[in-house]
Amino acid sequence: MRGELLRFLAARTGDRVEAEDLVQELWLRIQAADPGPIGNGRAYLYRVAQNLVLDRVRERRRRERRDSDWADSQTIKVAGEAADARPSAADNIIEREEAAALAAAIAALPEGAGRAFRLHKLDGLSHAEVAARLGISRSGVEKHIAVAMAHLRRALKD
Amino acid sequence: MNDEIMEAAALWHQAQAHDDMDWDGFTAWLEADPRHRESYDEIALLDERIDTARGAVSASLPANDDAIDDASSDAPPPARRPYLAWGGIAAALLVALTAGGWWVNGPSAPATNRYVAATGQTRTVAIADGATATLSGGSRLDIASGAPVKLAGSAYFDVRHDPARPLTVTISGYEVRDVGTRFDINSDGKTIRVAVAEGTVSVSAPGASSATEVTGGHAVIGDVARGTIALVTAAPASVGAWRNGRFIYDQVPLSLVAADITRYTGRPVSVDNGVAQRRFSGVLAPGDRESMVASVRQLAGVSARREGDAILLGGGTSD
Repeated sequence: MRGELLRFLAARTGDRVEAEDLVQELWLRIQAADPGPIGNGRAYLYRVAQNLVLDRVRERRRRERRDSDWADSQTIKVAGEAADARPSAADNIIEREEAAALAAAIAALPEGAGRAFRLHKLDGLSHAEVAARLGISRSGVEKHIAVAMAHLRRALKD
Repeated sequence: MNDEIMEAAALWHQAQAHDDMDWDGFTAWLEADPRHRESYDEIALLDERIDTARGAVSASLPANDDAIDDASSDAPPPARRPYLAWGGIAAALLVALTAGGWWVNGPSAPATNRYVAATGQTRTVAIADGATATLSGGSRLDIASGAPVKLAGSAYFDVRHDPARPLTVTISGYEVRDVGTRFDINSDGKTIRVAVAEGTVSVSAPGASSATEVTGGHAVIGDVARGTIALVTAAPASVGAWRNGRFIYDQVPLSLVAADITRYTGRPVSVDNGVAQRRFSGVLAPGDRESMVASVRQLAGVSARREGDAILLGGGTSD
């Protein structure tokens, strides 16, 4: 199991060393948990591994963004403000722009893909519920949503 | 990055919501091309970005209720495509304009960010000012600036001490106020439980004028229908233990244990009214619904039987 997870994490991160590190972290988490019967334990381990990777990716991006924000703000603002003072008005504007950009991109999706995407992502229906609603297969729904995601990704690329 | 790879990444991302996810196939796909990994990151982050802005985005899009009408004509004839494309652009502009107007209303209609943790997964969300919430699988958190944080399901909160900025969380009509502590909230809609690992929180029942102080090592259990609050002890180590893949219970109402299993596995477990309030203490290893229910049965000595899709705990015919 360890070898299998290591292989997965190496493929997922593209970095052997990081994969080793993640397997260690994963193992510590699992060992802290009581042994006991774990049904579908394999899928559980993969999911925890996925969560760990995504946490790191997210953290890395956040740090990159913060670094560049910091560099930007230094050129405009006078120094002296508290490091974690949050310009909430500016944050609100950013949030608005973000939502408007997403809404515009979603509204411009191809018809079938857009409909499936909105039912699932915005209205919260499961893949199976969307399939029943639209009279298509579950895999058809997932294909539609995949097309939608690729479109959105292209539309939102900065 | 081409669309084909992005679509494949999005298909793999969606497949993980299902029990039949092919993890070996996913590994092989990642190994086949380094761009696959990068595309997958992009899709996973985009997905989170959409979840985060979901409230504001839904509010600014026209209703999506005509979905059934022409579901059969899923692929529009090619001849109509140019027209559709222009329609799409016009719709986008319209949306951008109405969205702008909506936001001008400011505080009266604050944008709500919704965070959802997928079944079987946890998700950590930065609330503000050094406070984080870790959602258990299947739980939901709504955050709007200037309003209390709204929780459905269960979450663990870690709040840095700052008396000037208390964090307020609402759950099933109860209000939980905190100025710096680590605590766990769980609700199935009928019962709530707030357990504190460290620090102090105050909990007020719906419409109550006074609040109950809960210190580390304690928990309150509230009956939502009656609006009551009862104080019990709770081992600090048990609070939020599910974040590390272990469900530890110390005097937790059986109905909330069932709610945890339901959210974690994505499959319903209900509890007969007769035993819903019975206190459960024990450790459950995460697993599928059947194995988790089997552990509860053993530890709590209650019966379990199928009822349609659900498994009902208690409710007679003890084993």
